[in-house]
Amino acid sequence: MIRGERVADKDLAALVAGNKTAWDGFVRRYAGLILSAVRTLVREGTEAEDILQEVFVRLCKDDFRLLKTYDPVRAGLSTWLTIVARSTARDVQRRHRPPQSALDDVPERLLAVSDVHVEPLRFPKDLLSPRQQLVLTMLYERDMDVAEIARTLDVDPQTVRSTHHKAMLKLRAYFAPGRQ
Amino acid sequence: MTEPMDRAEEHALWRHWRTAMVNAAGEAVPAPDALLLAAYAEHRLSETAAEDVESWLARHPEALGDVLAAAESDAGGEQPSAAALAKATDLVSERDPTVVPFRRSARSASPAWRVAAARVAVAASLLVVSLVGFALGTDAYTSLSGSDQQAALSQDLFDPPSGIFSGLGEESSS
Repeated sequence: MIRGERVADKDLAALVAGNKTAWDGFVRRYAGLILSAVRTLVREGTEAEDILQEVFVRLCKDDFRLLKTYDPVRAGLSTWLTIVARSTARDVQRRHRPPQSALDDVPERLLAVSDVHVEPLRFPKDLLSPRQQLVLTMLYERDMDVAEIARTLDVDPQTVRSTHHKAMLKLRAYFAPGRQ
Repeated sequence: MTEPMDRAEEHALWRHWRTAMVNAAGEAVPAPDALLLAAYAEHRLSETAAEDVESWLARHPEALGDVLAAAESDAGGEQPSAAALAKATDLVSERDPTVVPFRRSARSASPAWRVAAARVAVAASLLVVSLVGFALGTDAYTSLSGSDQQAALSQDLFDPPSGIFSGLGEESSS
């Protein structure tokens, strides 16, 4: 969140009312933030600026429908805009992603539908708590270290280690040989 | 945190669990909206609300990147080109500030005498139109039927028949 950021209610009201001056000020103030937010997700070149445009289009289209959902009481504007910008970037990339392979290039045997009935796997969804799942995701999916995770979750590093340890005990017990 | 061998084993356990979880659970938790994720990034959610978000984030590591980026968002990064800024500002056009929504002017209720006068005026108009119409119709009729008939008609209307009062006149005279 930008230090000292606080969007005045009257500024926000003018913005969603379609005030041109308010919109221009908003664009100049937050374009850099949006560009920085999407830069890590896109390729080189002008793609980032295309997504920047797409973000602003999303914010103002349908009479500022998306912008009207923002509530300054619940979160800072820059935090919210960063999430909106990155989500938009991923949507754009998903739309423009080329098909992996043409259907004609795939061998026919790979397209054949097998008639084998597979029993759905029984799995205890609540084996790990949401916090334990998140800590493991941060550790193993995003390769974050304990200090980073602690900072992100706003907890003590020792709490992160403890959460990880308890989660691993549960997984070892569940996947132990002979258990399944 | 752990020895390299343990870490590899733990990583494998996690992968195993995650694969099984994805296959078994599907999409149990609805996707949080941007505002909820932003509130989570700023640690503004209650424990229960945060748990739901964390449960979803654990299945969507790509969104976890958004939360991490949002927590460290910085407006002082790179600046877009002037052309990109101009395109974005052009998305909202200038509105005429003098245009105000149309409103009907409030009309005061008419007094009773004005309503009565209006009704009398309408009735009088109808009466005048009726009389003029009748007079015109009569004129047209008499002009079409000729002067003899007019005379006979006038006689029939204004002169009494001779038979009715003749005896009376004789009696009175005698």
